[in-house]
Amino acid sequence: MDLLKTTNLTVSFGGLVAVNGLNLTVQKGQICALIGPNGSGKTTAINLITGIYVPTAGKVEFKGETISGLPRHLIVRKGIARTFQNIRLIGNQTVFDNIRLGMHIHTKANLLGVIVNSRAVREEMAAVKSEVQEIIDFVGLSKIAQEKTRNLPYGKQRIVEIGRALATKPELLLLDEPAAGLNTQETLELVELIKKIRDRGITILLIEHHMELVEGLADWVFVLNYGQKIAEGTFKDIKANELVKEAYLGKRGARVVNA
Amino acid sequence: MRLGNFLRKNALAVIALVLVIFPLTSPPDYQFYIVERSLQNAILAIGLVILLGYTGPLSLGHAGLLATGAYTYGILATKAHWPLWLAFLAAPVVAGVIGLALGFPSLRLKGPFLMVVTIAFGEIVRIVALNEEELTGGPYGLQGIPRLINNDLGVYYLMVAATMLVAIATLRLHRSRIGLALLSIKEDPLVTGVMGVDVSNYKVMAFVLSAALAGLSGAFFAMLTRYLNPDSFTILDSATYLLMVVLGGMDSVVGAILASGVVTALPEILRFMERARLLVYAIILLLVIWGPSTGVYKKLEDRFGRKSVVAPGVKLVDRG
Repeated sequence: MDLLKTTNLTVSFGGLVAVNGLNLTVQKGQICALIGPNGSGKTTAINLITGIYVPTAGKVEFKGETISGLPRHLIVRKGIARTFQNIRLIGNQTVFDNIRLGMHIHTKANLLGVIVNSRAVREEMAAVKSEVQEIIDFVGLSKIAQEKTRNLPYGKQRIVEIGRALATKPELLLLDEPAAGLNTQETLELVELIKKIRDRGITILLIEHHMELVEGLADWVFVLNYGQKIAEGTFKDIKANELVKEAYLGKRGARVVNA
Repeated sequence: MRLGNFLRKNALAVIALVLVIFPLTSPPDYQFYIVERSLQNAILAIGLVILLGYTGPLSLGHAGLLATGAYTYGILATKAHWPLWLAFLAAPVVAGVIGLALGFPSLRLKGPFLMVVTIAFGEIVRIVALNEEELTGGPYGLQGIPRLINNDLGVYYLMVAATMLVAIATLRLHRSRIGLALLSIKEDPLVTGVMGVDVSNYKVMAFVLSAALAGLSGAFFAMLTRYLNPDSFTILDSATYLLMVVLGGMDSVVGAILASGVVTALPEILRFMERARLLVYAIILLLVIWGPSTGVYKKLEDRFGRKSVVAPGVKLVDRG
């Protein structure tokens, strides 16, 4: 089943066409990777899918329903969650509360209920607490659950972001360079975590520059260059693709590699 | 620091206790009045905690909302002869509705631009109050405003109860999903939106709550002074309210209550200095704000019995 489908997805900023006629199809249950040189429009594509940018043309469909043009707070309710390339946690809040923020769409307490501290609100709070705790255990942050996130090392912050995205209970998880800035050990742990997330039945689309990571994880790879998709396929196919070599290495570079 | 820890955990209860006992010490009228004004100010300051401390937008127009509440109560009570309790309830409602209108510019404007809008709003209210003589009495003021409970102690205890209820409700808000959403909006509205929070709605909600509390404070103001004059609602008053919140540590309800007391009482305590009074007042405030950047109350809270995750004996680096 096509979980996510973009058709002719295009956005331009002034004269710059950042994403140009992009067609992606992500199958349910897969781990897909979006790769390409810097500035090729990978993050912009994710921003289009999650409603941070509105496409100039084309559309995004999720489970057969057009979601492009919806405000971002509704897109996440459809079941798409994401992390950010430059980690964006709520730094003054604890790990626990950052993940609790992800539960927002699954909670209902309204102002009146909160003020009178109604039974429903108290029960919801207790339920949220245990669900957040479960996510914290799942991603392995139990020891630092009460730390403010701005005091955490970089690698941990990335994991908190993933935990926060998981708290929205997504069907599709978009990870924007999850391994950027991680050391070898942390990268290994991340790979395990991503596999664990897939095993929970969550489809993953990730942007990544670490090719070993892409090779080890991705069932399907899309390659972008100058805002356009230049290739897609399994990692093996992509690796042999002339256009991809050119995009990364230039024409001459590709010749050298081939020689 | 056992005592410090106790005070921190039960700050609100201790304050309530002190406030309940205070009139029994039969204080001089003027002292009593200062405490009454502190309470009235505290209600508005808590509203600003929700807006500025939790959500982020800076308002220099809250004196206008205070005026809205005060005149709503005053006019409905003296000219329209509404039942007093209805006039009392109308004050926060009317101010809240105005806050709704004031909330919408906040969705498009940020920082200094929004601040200018709030300043303009405050001035508009003041000028309208000055010119609508039929209703407000204009520069002559609105006189003979009746009180909901017609004795000093009654109004005082009503205010103590209101302040405590508002404080408890705000603390509950703080720990709820709504509070978390507001605090997150302050730090990163984009991410908060991506996490499914309707940022626009919540921002407007913060404005409405803050305005309604300013209106409630206004109704008490009208009952305390029993006379309203547009001069009581200038931009300087708005700035003073901001000061209470900043001094209290921005997002601390207890801090705002204590700071309201300090900021209200300080000019009076310094009165013996006569002409140097304002100068000394200004210097004290500057020192206080320069010192701990997180507000005095937060500093004290940190000093006395904050639990750290780091093992005892490990010195934490000040991360600013």
